[in-house]
Formats: sequence, C-alpha cells, structure tokens
Amino acid sequence: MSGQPTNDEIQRLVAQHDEHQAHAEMLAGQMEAIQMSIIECERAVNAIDALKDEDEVASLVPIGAGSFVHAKMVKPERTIISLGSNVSAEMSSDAAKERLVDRKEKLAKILEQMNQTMGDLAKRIQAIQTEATKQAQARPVDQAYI
Amino acid sequence: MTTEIPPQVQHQLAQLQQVQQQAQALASQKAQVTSALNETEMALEELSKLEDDAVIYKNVGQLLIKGERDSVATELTEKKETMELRARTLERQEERIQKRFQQLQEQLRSAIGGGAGGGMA
Repeated sequence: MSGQPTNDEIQRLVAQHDEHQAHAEMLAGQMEAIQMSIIECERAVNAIDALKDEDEVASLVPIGAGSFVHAKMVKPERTIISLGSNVSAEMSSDAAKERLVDRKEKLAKILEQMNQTMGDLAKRIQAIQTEATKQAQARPVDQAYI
Repeated sequence: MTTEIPPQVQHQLAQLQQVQQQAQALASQKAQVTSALNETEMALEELSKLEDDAVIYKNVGQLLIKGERDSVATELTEKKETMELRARTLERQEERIQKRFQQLQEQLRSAIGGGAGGGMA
C-alpha cells in the first residue's frame, strides 16, 4: 500500500476484523460445549468403573430439586448409552465404557483442531489490529475515521 | 465535512441490512439442521454396528421406551431424509438471498458512486 489509506481500505479492515471476531466468538462457544461433553464422558466412565463388580448396589436416585429416593441398582453390569438423535442402546458396561472412551478421544481431537483454528484467528485479528494502527498513524489528523 | 444521505440510498441501506439479517437467520437454521442431520447419520451408523439382538430405547421426554431395532432404524432414516430435504431447501434460499444481497450491494455502490468493501457475514 502506498500513500494514505482510503476509506475503502479502512472499511475492508473493519469488516475483516468483525468477521474474524464473530467467528472466534462462535468457535469459543462450540469449544466450551465440546469441553462439557468430554467432562460428561469422563463422569460416565468413572461411574461405570465405580459400579463395576458391585452386586445390587444401594444408591440414591435424584428426583430433582436436590431430592433423592433410595434405589437398588439391579444390573450394574449393563449400561444404556445414547447413540444420538433420541435413541439409546443397552450393552455391557465394558462395551459402553469402550464407546465412551472412544467418543471422548474423538471429541478431544476435534477440540485440538478447534484450538488451532482459534490460534490462527487470533493471529489474523492481531495482524488486522496492527495494520489498522499503522493506517491510523498514516492518516492525516483532520480525517477522522468515525 | 458532512453530507446528507439521499432517501433512496437510505432505503437501499435498510434493505441491505434486512437481507443481511435474513441471511444470518438462514445460516443459523442451516447450521442447526446440518448438526441434527449429522447426529442422525451418526446414530444410524452406531445402530448398524450393534448386535442383532441389541435392546434399543427411544427417548420420550425424560423417559426411555423400549423400541424395535428395525422400526427405530426406519424412523431415523425417514428423519434423515426429511432433514436432507430441509437442508437443500435452506441452501436454495441462501443462494437466493446471496444473489439479492449482491444485487442490492451493486445498486448501492452505483448510487453512492464508489466501491464499498466487506461482504455478507
């Protein structure tokens, strides 16, 4: 670029910045949801492990509002796992655990890719901010941007 | 230096913003449908990996109701087809709105006699 920056250049930078910013915010929300899913998988795996080899475990089942009723787990060796789309399947707890671990690993990979994308976006936003600062300094004082 | 924006340009700007909002709403709807479609495809794939005698349940509100594997698979397939159709419809609507946006952008450019940067978010 030579000479003073034009309004078009400034507008282009602002539009790019806003676009990247919106993308980054959306990505952050998705990453948070994936992180929650990973934690849920871990909790389910921990529960399966805790119930393993326990016969007729006496437990408390939540009924909402911080209230519980006594219940006996009659089949702790069987687990019902969600397949998505409002469908669940019953299987051995070992098989369910395997699926949950697999699911967690897949989610962790996706999260890693998203982290990279987020890093790239942060770099681009930083580059735009640097460019905008340069252009602001190159612009005569009497020409306000806003 | 301040210049008054002609009413025609103001009207075109308002239209452009309206079209942009419609495009954003469509994009959001499409993302939801695509996500649900992916989930259904994954559920169908998981279902096909299960043993023939596997016990299947359907979520009905907070309850799980025992269901027949074949009928659940049929339901999921139908759901998938409906969502594919919905996704295609949204895609066509998106294309139309994109064209309208470009058209309005061109009109606005010629009206103000310059080339404004930026695109549809």
